[in-house]
Amino acid sequence: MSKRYTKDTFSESLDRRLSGFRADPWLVRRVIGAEKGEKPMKKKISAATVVIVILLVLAMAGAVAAANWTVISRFFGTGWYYNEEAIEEPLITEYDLKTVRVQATEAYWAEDGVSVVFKVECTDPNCLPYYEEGEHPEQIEYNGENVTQDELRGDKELISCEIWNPGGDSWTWYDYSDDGLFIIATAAQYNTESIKAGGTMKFQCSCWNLQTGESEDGVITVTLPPLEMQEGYFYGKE
Amino acid sequence: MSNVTGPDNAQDRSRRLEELVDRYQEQVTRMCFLYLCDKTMAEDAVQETFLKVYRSMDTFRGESGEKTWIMKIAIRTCYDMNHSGWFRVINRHVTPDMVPEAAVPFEESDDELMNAVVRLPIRLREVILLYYYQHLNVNEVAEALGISQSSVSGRLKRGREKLKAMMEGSEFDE
Repeated sequence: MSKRYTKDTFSESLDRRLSGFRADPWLVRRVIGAEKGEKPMKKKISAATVVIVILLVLAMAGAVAAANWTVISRFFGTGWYYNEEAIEEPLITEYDLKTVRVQATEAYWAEDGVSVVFKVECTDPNCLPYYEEGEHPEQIEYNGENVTQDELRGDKELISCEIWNPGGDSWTWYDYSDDGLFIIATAAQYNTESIKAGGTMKFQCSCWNLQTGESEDGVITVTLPPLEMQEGYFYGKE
Repeated sequence: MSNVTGPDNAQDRSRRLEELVDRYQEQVTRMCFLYLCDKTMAEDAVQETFLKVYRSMDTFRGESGEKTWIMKIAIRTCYDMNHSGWFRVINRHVTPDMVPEAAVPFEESDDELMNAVVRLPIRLREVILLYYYQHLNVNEVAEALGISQSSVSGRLKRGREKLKAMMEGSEFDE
């Protein structure tokens, strides 16, 4: 149905449809009561499972030299490539969360993107990272559509990140930002026997469609937007 | 613009809260529902929003408009609730049973618009709702979301395009 919406007609339309949402006459009383500590206000929204959640905030500025790519290895048939030449100013970013410390220790150009190496440490000796089987989505929702990761890789506006880690399976999380860039969050699956408390887990992520600029002297600068960070959740060790 | 700064005592604060709730509760409730697509979560978000409003009443100095201030709190509250899980499953399809029965007659296009809005990605939905639904200007939207005006403009443009694509060529004034 074709229609022209102004701000007024837009809000009138939604207000008609949502007119069933009426004012709660007790809201003020509950708010004041909660402020006085009479009763809890917020319902707990608890996760049904505990998973590893690591979302990194990266801000990187630096000069990257263009280089010839050298194939060093392939991983799981994805066709990833390492470039032996690291960027001149390696990314060193460390984030201390409550039970995990995340470091981005190295970065390389890899085809059209930058490969970043992360190091993750459990800093709480009473917790181990835990990943519940079945949580890894084969599909995610993008723009209201369910798409597979393969389909996303074909979309130049999106970043699809796969993880390689030496321990086991991996999963990815990604998002689309306003600048056509990406958000990377990486995690690796471990069973509780394969990592000890305080152990480290190294994994790698490549990303594409970075915003690049080239200065007059041919230096390529790669910038990543600052991203949101979330806490990591860890499973208590029995 | 009402000035909510400097209530002198508990009674003043309560009275100011009542005024704000009276003025904005329905708007905030509908906003939160369109953001979260869940009536129960929206109700929680509304309570949490006005609790934060009540707590920060004394420190609000009127740098932004009152509505911008409250919408900023509401959006942030919804955002936090929406991000409380990790691999959350986001259902962007609102079904009729999720929406309370309308108190006034509505048109099919009203339903279509609501469903198109909730299908927008969150970042686009935020700006569309604040700009078109809450009638904030670009500067106020930027302030509410803590982003640049150019980001707001870009998201508005993309949001309009997506709405247009979902609604068979409907137009949205800039």
